[in-house]
Amino acid sequence: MSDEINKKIAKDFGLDNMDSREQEGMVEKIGNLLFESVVERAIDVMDEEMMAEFENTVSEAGSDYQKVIGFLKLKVPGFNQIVSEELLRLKRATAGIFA
Amino acid sequence: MEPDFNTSPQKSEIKYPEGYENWSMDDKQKFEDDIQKLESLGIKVEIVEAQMGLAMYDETEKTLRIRQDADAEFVADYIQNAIFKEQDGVDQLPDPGELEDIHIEEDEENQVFGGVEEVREEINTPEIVEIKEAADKNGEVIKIGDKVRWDFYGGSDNGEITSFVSRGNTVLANIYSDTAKELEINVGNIFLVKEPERVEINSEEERKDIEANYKPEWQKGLEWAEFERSRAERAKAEIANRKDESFGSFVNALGHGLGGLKKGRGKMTDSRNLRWDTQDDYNDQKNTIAKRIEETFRKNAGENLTPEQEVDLQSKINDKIFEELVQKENDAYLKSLKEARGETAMGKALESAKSLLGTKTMQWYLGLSKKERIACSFVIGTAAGLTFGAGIGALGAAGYVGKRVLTGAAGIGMGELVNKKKSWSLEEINRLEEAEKEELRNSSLSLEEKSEKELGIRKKYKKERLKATAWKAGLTFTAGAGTGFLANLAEGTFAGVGGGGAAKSALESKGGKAGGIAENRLQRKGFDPNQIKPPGPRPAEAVMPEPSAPRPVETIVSEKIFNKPEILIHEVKAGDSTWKILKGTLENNEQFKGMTEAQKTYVLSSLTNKVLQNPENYGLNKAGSLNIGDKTDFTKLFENTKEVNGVFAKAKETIMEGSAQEKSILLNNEKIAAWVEAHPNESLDEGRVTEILNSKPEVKVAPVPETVTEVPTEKSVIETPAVLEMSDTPAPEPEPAPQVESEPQPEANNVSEMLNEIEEAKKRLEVLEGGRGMRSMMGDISAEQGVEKAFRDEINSIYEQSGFLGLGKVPGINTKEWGEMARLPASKVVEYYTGDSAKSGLPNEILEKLTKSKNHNALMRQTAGLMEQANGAVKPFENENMEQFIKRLGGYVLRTYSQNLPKAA
Repeated sequence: MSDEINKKIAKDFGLDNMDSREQEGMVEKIGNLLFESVVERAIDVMDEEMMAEFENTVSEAGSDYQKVIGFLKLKVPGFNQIVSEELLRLKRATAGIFA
Repeated sequence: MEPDFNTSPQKSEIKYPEGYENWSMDDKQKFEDDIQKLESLGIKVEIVEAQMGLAMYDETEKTLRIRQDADAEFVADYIQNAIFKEQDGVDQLPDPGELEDIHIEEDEENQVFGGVEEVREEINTPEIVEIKEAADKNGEVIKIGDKVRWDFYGGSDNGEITSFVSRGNTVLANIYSDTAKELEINVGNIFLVKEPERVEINSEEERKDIEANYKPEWQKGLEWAEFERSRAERAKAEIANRKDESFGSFVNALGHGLGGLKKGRGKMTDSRNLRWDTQDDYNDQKNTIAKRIEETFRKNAGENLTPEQEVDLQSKINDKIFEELVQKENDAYLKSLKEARGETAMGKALESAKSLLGTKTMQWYLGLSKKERIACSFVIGTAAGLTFGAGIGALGAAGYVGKRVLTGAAGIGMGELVNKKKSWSLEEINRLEEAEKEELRNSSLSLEEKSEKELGIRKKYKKERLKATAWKAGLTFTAGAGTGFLANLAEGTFAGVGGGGAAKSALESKGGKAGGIAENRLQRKGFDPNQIKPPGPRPAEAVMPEPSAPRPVETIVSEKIFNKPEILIHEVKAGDSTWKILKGTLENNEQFKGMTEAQKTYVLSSLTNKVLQNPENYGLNKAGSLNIGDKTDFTKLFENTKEVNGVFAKAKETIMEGSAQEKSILLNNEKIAAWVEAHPNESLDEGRVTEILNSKPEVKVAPVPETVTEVPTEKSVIETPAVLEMSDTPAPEPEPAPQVESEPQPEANNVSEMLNEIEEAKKRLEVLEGGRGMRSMMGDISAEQGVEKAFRDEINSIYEQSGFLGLGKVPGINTKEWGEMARLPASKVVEYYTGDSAKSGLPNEILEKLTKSKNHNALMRQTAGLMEQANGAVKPFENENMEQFIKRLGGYVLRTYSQNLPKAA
């Protein structure tokens, strides 16, 4: 099953030719870039009040990342659009460049 | 004046009180100056859980203790009146190197500091102002553009100061690193530990020489320079274009240096073209650089590589390509994003605050385990449905239904749910497992390796079988809901990626460092890891226990449930069924024996389902059937005493006498019993059971005999292929839609047992069919509980109030704001939000609240999404309040999708 998912993601991000181990590493890296850019975009649209709320959420989240994501999903207007744009951007960034 | 890099300024450090990280941003700002001043006076600040006063200053210990629930203004007043006034006249001179001693020259670029005291103007206002340069008490000027060396925990970096702001005496400097890893450090802010330590930098010429020598092959020459320029322009274009799309204007784009791009392309009338028109050229450049990288690596690697060396080389090449082309592109993009903030009217203070918040969030992210980081990014990724190639669905009903579904199915990757589609049958899973084992057997691995890998395969598919059952509700949802909505079900799913999804496999990839994250962009010091709560139990992992992996039978454990372990082994006779055998076995347990019929049904249903997920583990054939003469062994089923006792407890807790759940179970039993009695010669198949359970109330229901008058004989038990294979030959693979054998039905002497048999048949069909069209009693129960839980969770998440210093939180469900909304007439509120707001008939006072409240708006977005999912079938009743309506709506959506049978509520 993991292979199936990895293959799909690998295809989306142009990592088809890599072996599974390498694909996994790349997928992890891409995930990190995605998170960072999504967070920056989300913060961009926050007003001061929401920023304070978000900061509290992050401070209190511990390992409960769902709390943080839940906040973003719930409070940030157009969050899904942001995620979509960032995913597409990263897909473009990785398309067709790997050996 | 050129800065003197030969002299390092004194390092300074601000020690903030423990618990400070939990303060809100506003509170931090309020106290920042005070805390610095207290620091300079040698006064320690502590946040304490309990004490008599809200704030108390202990002069002997020179410690100010602030109670956690203290009011910010009170504390500020206390500090001013009780401490600073007392300290008047005895203020110590600040220690050298403290930030307070950084003197600020406001907006006077290139000011020559001839006489320090004469020209410096110390800023004491708490307002944040942009400044051009700052100087420490030694008179050393720090200016924008200065190169500085930055020490942080475990390392150091060089950086260039890009901007300054000050808040009172605190200087905030944004620094980008020379290594292009965009080290961003805010000097003097709440995370600050050290101010920049300047180091000697070579002359510009020398530096260029060093850089030129250091540059890898692909970075030499015009090609790279052109590419970098394109990348930077494109990053700016991306940001500008987005603004352009958002606001329908090219003003922003024009302000971002796009002239060249536009001129070159000559067709920028549609802002969307901007991205794609430049894409080809840019991609060509990228491909060229990628080729250069590969050529360089191959040249250095030499020829005649072994296959292993070739794989290793390929991996290195791709890593470098990622770093140079993907990560740096991302870095340029983020840099542009941040720069664009500076060009808005938000002000430097807010810009800095955003920067800080981004840094803090990334610190938190990097503090997660690798598994959690992967899960985190993938849950985000699936939120838009894009990772798996699906369309971008609208965010609709959000977590409401999703949370419910997950209460029973956490621990399974969302991606699998989305991607898995129809491959849910046990047969398919078995087939895949066999194929994988076959592949392994044919591999050239050693026996030991094969053995180890085979164990892994078995474990993996064991979990898959569980998922195939556990995700029934999710499957029907997949068919009925948009991807965007479905994606919301993913909340929490990746936390328990034990199922072997991408997250898991990525976890097992080499290295533990956060791939792709330029960790050195973040401050190493000043960020207190203790700010992050230590990882507790993984949320979703705790929701639903994973099936226990195969392990040696621990008879002693089973003995806790049963005094005589031998009763767990049973030789199958005619008339036996899994349900019957389990029931007979469980009657040896005192807890079970004392349960009501409905509670027993719950337990049996739960355990039968578990058996059917891995039938071969218990002596059933792989299709889940029994053959006469087989020996069933349920030792493994009961070895996890905690889990079994959990099922018992759950049955007792949730199936109370007279409860809706009990009625539901008994009604279902009665319906099926009545039907069987009324149709003794008809077969009972999937469609029939669905029909029976969804029958209208007018269907005549035969009463269930209260007492069993005869001991059932083998002949008295209904036999169906799903229950018992009357053959010694192995059972055939079940057909996609197995029919219960239509043998003439013998008289049912034991109606209760007969019901159980039918229920098992129903369950069996449900498993085989992946839940299509079937509603199980378990589903009914969990749905009802799930709706209530999801409702509370949703309300809590929307209306929760955080208290002062992060404490004193009020759950959303208990807030006044929700209380007001809960009681409002649903028809009017829905009309206000979805129809003509002027015609809602709500009082002005209420209208004002609805208009202004972000929470109310968030709730209504969720509600509207759910209504959309219900295809308009659920509308508020005349006298229904919001709480009642949302619960009914959520319940309907849940039921509808779990059945995949749209109908009116």
